[in-house]
Formats: sequence, C-alpha cells, structure tokens
Amino acid sequence: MTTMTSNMPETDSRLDLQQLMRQKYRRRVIVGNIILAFVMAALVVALIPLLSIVISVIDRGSKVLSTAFLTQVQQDPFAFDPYAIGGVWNAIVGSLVMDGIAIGAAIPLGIFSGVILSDAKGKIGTTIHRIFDVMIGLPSILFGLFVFFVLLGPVFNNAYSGMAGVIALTLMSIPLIAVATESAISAVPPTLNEAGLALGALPSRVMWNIKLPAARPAILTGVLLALSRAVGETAPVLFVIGQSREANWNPAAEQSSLPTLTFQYLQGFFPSQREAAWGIALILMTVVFLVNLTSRIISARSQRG
Amino acid sequence: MEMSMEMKENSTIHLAPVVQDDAQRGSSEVAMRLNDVSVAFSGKTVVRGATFDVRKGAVTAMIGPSGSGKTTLLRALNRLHDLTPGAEVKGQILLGQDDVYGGGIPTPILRARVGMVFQRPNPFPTMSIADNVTSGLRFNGVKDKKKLEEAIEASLWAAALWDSVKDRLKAPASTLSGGEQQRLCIARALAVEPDVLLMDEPTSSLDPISTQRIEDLMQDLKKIVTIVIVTHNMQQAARVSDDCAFLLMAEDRAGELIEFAPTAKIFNDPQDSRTLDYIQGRFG
Ligand SMILES: Nc1ncnc2c1ncn2[C@@H]1O[C@H](COP(=O)(O)OP(=O)(O)O)[C@@H](O)[C@H]1O
Ligand SMILES: [Mg+2]
Repeated sequence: MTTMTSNMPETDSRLDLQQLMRQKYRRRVIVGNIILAFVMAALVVALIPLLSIVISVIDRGSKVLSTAFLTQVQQDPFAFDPYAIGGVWNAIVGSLVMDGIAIGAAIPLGIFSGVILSDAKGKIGTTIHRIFDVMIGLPSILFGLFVFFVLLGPVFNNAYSGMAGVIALTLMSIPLIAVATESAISAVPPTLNEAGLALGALPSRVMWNIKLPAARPAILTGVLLALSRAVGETAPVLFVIGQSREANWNPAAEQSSLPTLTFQYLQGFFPSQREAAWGIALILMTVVFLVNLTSRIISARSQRG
Repeated sequence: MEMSMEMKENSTIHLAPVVQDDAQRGSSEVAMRLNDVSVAFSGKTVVRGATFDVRKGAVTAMIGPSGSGKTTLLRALNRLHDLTPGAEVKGQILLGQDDVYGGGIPTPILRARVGMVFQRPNPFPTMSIADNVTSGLRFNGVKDKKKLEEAIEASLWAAALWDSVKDRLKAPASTLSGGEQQRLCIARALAVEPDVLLMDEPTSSLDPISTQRIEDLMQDLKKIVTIVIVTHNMQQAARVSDDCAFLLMAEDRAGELIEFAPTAKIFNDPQDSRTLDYIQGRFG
C-alpha cells in the first residue's frame, strides 16, 4: 500500500481536487442535516395522531375493561341501566365463531387458489391474478352489499345469520391468502424445483412436498394478515348478521361481533355505551397487536432457520 | 482459488497437465449416446453438434469456456429444458436403448435414472438430512420403511458423509456446511440408484478442501454410477475424468463440440489446435 502511494506523483490537480472535496464536505454535512431535520419533523407529525389514538384507546379502554365486561353479555334494552356498562361476551363469542370459521374456510380455499395461480401460466393466470388484486382493493362494504342483496334472500330466507357474515368474511379473505400464497411460492428458489424434478418427482409432488413447505412461513404471514383484517371488519357483516344480545356459539343464528357492537355503541344515546365502545376498541387493538406479533415471530424464525 | 489456478497455468505449467493413460477406466459399454444434439432457446441456438458416447462406469467431463453451452448440454440429458418455455432440443439422445426425446421413456422415470447434482448445493431446506436422502425414493412411490432406512445409510456412505452426520440424521439439512450440503445432494441423487449422475460444476461454490473431497469421492462413485461432469476447471477435468468433451463458441456464439476423446488424449495429444490452445490456457 505504502509503496503504491509513494509511486504516485503529488500533482497540482490532485491537490486541487482534494482541496475542493474538503470544501464541499462541510456543505454536504449541513445539507444532510437539514434533510434529516425535515424527515424527523414529518415523522413526528405523522406519529402524534397515531400515538394519541393508541394512548387514548389504552387509557379510556382500560377504565372499562373488567372481568364482568369480558364475561357478561350486553345489556337488555328493556331493562337498560344507563349508568352501567354491561358486557361484550356476546360479541366476543360472535367474533370468535365467525372469524374462526371464515379463516378456517379461507385457508384451504385461498391456498388452493394460490397454488393454481402460481401454476397458471399466460392469460388465464394473469387474469385471475388481476381479479384477486382488485378484490383485495375493494371497499369491504361491497362484500357486505353482495351478501345482503344476493345471498340473504335465496340462501338465508331473508333472516339474519352469522353464516351470512362468515361468507362475506371468507370472500374477503380468500384473495388475500391466495395472493400471499402465490407470491410465497414464486419466492421459493427455482433450483429447489429443479432438484425435485431431477429426482423424478411429478410437478404436483414438488409443489406439496417442497415448494409449499418452503413457502409456509410467508403463507402463514398472509393468513394472519387476513385474520387481523377479518377481526376488525365491520362493513361486510354489519347488514347481515343481525344484533344478537346473547352469546351464540351457533354460527347460523343471529350474531354479534366486536366491530359491529362498537358501531352500535357509537350510535348509542348513553355515555355508558360510548365508554363501552372504548373497551371494545382496546380488545380489538390487543388482538390485532398479538396477531401481528405472531406473524413477526414466524417470519423472524423462518429467516433464522 | 480459480484465479491462482489460472495464474499457475499461465506461469508455471506451460504444458497441459499430464494425464496417465492408465487413469482411463470404464467399460466400452455405452450408458448414454448423443447424436448431433443441439439446444436452442426461442430459436437461438446455444449449443450444437454434440455427438459422443458416455461410457458406462466412466467419468465423462465437459470442458470449455464460460458460455460455451456445457450446462445447457448437460441439462438436455435429463430433459430439464422441458421447464423452459421456448427451449428446443434437437438430435437424438439415448439412455441405454431408450430414446430420451423420442417418447421412449416417461420424463420422471428418465430423471430417476439420470440424477443430477447442481452448481450450488440445494438440499431441501424444510427437510432433515435423512428426509433429504430418502426424498427421491418417496417421490417415486417407495414407501417401505426398511428400504428407506437402508437407503439413508447406503447413500450417505457412498457420498462419504455417513460418519459426520450419523448422529444427527434428524437435523435440518441447513445445519451442514457447504461441502457437506453438496455431498448430501450427491447422496440424495444416489438414493434412487440412477444409471447416470450429471454434475454441473459441483465444486465451483466450495472451498479447496471440500473440492478435494468430492473429487476423491468421484473415483469411488464411478464404480456404481456413470458420471457426466461439467467443469471449467481443466485441472479438475484432467484429475477426475476418463473421457473429455471440449466445447467452444463458434462465430455466432453458439457452443460447438470441438473434440471428444479419452482425457489422456485430449490433454496430451489433442487433434484440434483450438483444444491445444484452450488446455494450454491461451484463452477462455
Ligand atoms: N434458459 C435460457 N434462455 C436463454 N439463453 C440461455 C438459457 N440458458 C442458457 N442460455 C445461454 O446459453 C449460453 C450457454 O450457457 P451455459 O450452457 O450456461 O454455458 P456454460 O455452462 O458453458 O457456461 C449462454 O450464452 C446463455 O446465456
Ligand atoms: Mg455452466
């Protein structure tokens, strides 16, 4: 290294250039700092409302949250005590039942669609892909609208039913899971596909025994994303599940859910109802947070392994 | 490592590596026969005019500069180009009596008889070491537990990996070093007991010691399987192979088979001046 530099002549142009770079350096540092300051300011502006939402949900929600709130059903309107909060057990059960069935149905349907999507080449494949992309972007109320106008009459005899909500949530979740599956499969290194085929495996065998297992963490992340969306959605189920005040483990009965009860309480006349809405908000936030955390742990673990 | 080798070629070794004639083994029986094979992608010919016999029990090397179509020709032998839209293989390839592209043999069956080891180790990441070894058998419908158990030990033995992994067969394949992973891939390919094993620069991503191990291994392997190896490392070809195919790009950048001969002949007395130039390190 030293022998290299000692061979190099100390020309004027080199010194000039180094001098110039030294002068420019100060300016570069100042400009860099100004940009950084702007970015930080923008970040703060964005974070303040976000943080205040989180803080007020925790603050006001925790005042409402209690064992009774979680385990009692909501108050009977005919014996309503405007100073009591009541409970949300009926909505917890409804959400568990409906979201559970919807995601349970959307997982196989979505994964199968994703597999077909990743195999489908050419026009048909891209067309289905487009349709799924559009479905993901659709306002969720359209799923509620579809079930309300198209299915509620012929399928459910115009009676409110948790199953109608399940259908709306399933339809909403399938494209999310399908697209996550498809991109997870296409992220599997092609050399694994070749290794499988080179052993004499059929393409379908390679899909189930090599590609899908390798894609599993990313698919799971997609499933959890769909779950956290389904848990929080009001619009798809609002018009079709009714307003059950009883805890119903039967999905076909009239149902209640955490987001729809929030909606109902926000329209309520009494301050106690609005307080209860904060409690539900805290429950929903916690659930979504936990689902997110899980998906993070999964993807972190898959990156390590 | 490659660098130092090239430099050695240019500076100290002026003549091509000397290959002993008695290194040539293998029977005169033909395992695979290539007859004027050419491969084109979307109409553009990438390699052409490959005519030679792969002798049973021998190691056949394909050498030539980067881009001369070695990988492309190798992948024609187990029909891996079927995966590439627009790829077209012309000419005739025989595996024993079966016409590989003539509908004589279903492709998955062909691929079970003509195994492959890739340029980079590619064990199945979600499977254990043992499951990697038995994967080929299971994919081909072998369910018998005893047969699978036997294959694990036999294949890992054959790939010189048994001793280092016998106590952790259930561990994920990803816990092995690069060299061990490549030997696992060899074991995986051997487990289905193929007639021919294709190896595409199997040591190019490995350190010198792992490379040495695999080269040593090949001498034992050719007792049980016919080997076709692609390498752009001439010393390696000289060390491990019995027959040698030299490919070079023509004017139109398509690879052509320049010369095919026993390795000793290619390195000691090549018939084509371009072969001589290449093995003396004048280009490529
Ligand atoms: N799937 C493909 N589509 C188009 N061209 C290809 C494809 N595979 C290889 N080629 C081309 O074929 C030529 C030979 O490649 P390859 O067989 O990999 O050479 P080598 O293994 O001798 O280095 C290269 O010019 C490469 O770009
Ligand atoms: Mg190559």
